[in-house]
Amino acid sequence: MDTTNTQMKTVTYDDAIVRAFSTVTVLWGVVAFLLGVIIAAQLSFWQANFGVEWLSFGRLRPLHTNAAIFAFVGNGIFAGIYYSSQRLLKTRMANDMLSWAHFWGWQLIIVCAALSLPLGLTQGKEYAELIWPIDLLVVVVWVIFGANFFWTLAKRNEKNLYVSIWFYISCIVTIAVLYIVNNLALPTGLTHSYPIFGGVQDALVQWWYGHNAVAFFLTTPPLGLMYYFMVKAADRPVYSYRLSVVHFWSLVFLYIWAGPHHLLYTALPDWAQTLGMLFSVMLWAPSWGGMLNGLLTLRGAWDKLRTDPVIKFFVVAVTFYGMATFEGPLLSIKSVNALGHYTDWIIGHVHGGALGWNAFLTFGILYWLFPRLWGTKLYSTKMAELHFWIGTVGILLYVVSMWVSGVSQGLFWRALDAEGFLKYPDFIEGLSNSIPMYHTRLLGGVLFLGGSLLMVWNLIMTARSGKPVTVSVQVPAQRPAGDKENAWQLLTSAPMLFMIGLIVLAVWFGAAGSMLSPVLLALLIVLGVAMIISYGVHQKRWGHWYGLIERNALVFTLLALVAILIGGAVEIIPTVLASKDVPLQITEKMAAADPVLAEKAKWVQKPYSPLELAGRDIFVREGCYNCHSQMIRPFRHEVLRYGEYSRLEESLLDHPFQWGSKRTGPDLAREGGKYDNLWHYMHLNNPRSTSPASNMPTYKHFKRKTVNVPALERHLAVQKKLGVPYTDQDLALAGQRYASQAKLISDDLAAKSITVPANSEIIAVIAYLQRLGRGPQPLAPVPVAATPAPAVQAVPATTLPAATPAAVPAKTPATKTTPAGH
Amino acid sequence: MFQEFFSRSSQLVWPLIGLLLSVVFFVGVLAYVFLGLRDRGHIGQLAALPFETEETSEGPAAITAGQIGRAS
Repeated sequence: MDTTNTQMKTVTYDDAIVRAFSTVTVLWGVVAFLLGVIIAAQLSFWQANFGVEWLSFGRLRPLHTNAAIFAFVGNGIFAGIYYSSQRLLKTRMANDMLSWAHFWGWQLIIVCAALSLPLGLTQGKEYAELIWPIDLLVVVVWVIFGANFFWTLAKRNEKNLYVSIWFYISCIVTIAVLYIVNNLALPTGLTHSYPIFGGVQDALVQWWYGHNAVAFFLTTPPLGLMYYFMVKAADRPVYSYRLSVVHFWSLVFLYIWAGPHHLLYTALPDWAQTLGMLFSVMLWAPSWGGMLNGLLTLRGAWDKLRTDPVIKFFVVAVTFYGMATFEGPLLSIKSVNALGHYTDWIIGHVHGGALGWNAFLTFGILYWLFPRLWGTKLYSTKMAELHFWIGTVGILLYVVSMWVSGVSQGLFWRALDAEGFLKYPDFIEGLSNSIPMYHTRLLGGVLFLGGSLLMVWNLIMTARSGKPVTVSVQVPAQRPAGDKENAWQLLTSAPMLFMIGLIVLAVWFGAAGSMLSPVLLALLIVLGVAMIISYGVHQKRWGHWYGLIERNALVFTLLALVAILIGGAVEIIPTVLASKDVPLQITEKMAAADPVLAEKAKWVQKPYSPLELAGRDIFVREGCYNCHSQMIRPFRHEVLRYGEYSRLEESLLDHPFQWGSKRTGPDLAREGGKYDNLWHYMHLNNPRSTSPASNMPTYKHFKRKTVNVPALERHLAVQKKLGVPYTDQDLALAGQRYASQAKLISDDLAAKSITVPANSEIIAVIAYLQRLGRGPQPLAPVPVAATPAPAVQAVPATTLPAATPAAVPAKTPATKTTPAGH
Repeated sequence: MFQEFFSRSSQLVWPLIGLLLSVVFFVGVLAYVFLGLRDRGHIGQLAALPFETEETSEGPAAITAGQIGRAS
């Protein structure tokens, strides 16, 4: 910046907010790692659940993931953004009050999460578990953060936006879109809601969010931080600015499409799966471009790797970024995913990214920031070195054990004997084989936690040895003049119009029939040639075009928003339309007229009874989906083990969907009818009584706790608003039907000398489990002579379908397997 | 070929659209960056943005990169 003959003014940075965010990052980091160690211990030793409902794995695992993502990495990101943005924009944050509202609001969210998740208050969707009032708080705090950030952009004293700022912008706008869409829900009360999407729609929206929470919260902001802090630590400019342009735009455009790779071989339409796979593989290029750009930034400064622990943390972080972004596309290839999905391999992959990339980058930033924020030197370099090595060994133990465990599980599940039947039909046998790896993982986690405790001590002592520093900078009194071109002129400039034209023609060409395609192809070529000529004639103007875009925060933000919206729209809108094509009530006349519809009719889901819905709510509350999937993939070994593969039509009414992402226990999609009520009672009460090697927590509190039956009518009413075909009569008779069906199960248990109140939670959970994969179950005793039972006798007839085996699809061909163990 | 492809499902147009979009977008960005963005002086200036300001601090002196070690 030319400051000659220019009056200068002093800008004082707000580093108090950076100190606050940095400090809580350290605190929440330890909490997140400790929770990780606890849940790792629970998988090794079921006793570590302590028989306490709010300490069970299903409730603590969401707390661990939320603490790691939003509390630890989140606060670390904010610390880095506040520090680097002020310096890159040469201005103080726009409004201190907004900064502090952001800080305290975010901490309030974390405390609310820490209280609500162990209490079982959850939405039942991974990384989106927080209940709707907390979601609203998240939105408010995010808007405050965004407003403060964009306001700061508007009052900046530097014309150009450095690459880090681009990544921050993409994070702010994309997370806003993802979070709001995925958390759209209708409340049934202050602490409970049902998502507006159901079944396959919910699955796609959830993983569009889930994957891009990784992308735009755990990847793009840390990449922005990498482009600032690594550059500063190495004291070298970024290796290639042009590569960073390609890195940014390719990453934000491609990432948003990749969500469906979490749903390969599920009931998601095949085209969406293929799209997810292809875009995931394409992501390899920009991800590695970014990684290489980061590593090569150290050119000429590699000697610092020997002496500077900050550089050590950064180099390992970027290396793990490269490893994770190699492994991610690899796992997205359908044939690899067939082996790896639902296994510990995914856990290893995720933790390679979370511990190696996110945590190590954050550690490096903290070690770099603390001495500067407190105007001192790091208390102990040796302690930081020790932290680095302990942490690295911890990550390696964790990741390698999960790779071994995951690949073994995948091979174990799919192993068939010479006759084509399951070689290991008992699921629990595979779990037993994984336990040594779980112990190794636990050791890795303990080491990682131990290393972070060293960091806590080191940073506390660093802060104590210095004093908070106030940093100022001289900038020209006059803000730099804006460019002549306004936003509209930029959006309608030649490069932009050519690009839009090419994209429109390319899309049209793809969708057009054989007659129109040659014409469109010719037009595409003509436009391409015209673009080259235009570039040749106006080379200088084209050369400055990106500079103009990147200096105009509004245009830049709009383009980033469009880039991420395209992928989301192309995937979600057709899926929503496709599932709307399935009529929820197919009459015999409709089925007779359309053979395809007749086939679908066999699978279309019927609404849950009030008791089953209550059981499902408890299933969601306990986080059972953390260990049990409800999605049988179309593989012989899965069909042999669990039954007929899952269809899209079977879970359309599930709000939220419960397809799951991990199988520590077996799939439950067709659990209904595999065991009797007594087995489920014994299993929930003490899983070891039916499956001696199980590591599942006990659910003794199901016997003690009762269902709030009067509230069920409201739950059914909300489901009805969401499109579940309940009638007014179904709602009015909810309590009566609940009691009637519950009595059937409690009477059955009583006949086997088990006395349990009909309104206890265990009855509802058993009813739900017995319903899975089957049609509606009897709501009252079925007359012996009636085969099949025409309708419920004791309860007035309604639209709730009668219990009939017709709704139960035929099971798979006979197997010589025994039912999967638990 | 396309007709046969699409006859299986009207939804199959979406992956094709997605691929075309991404290819055009990616090629466009690459072409622009390596053909259009060639002002080395300007690029160097942008890359150097993190190093531009001379900071002064109140309280203990701010330390520079690499200056770490046991305090006291």
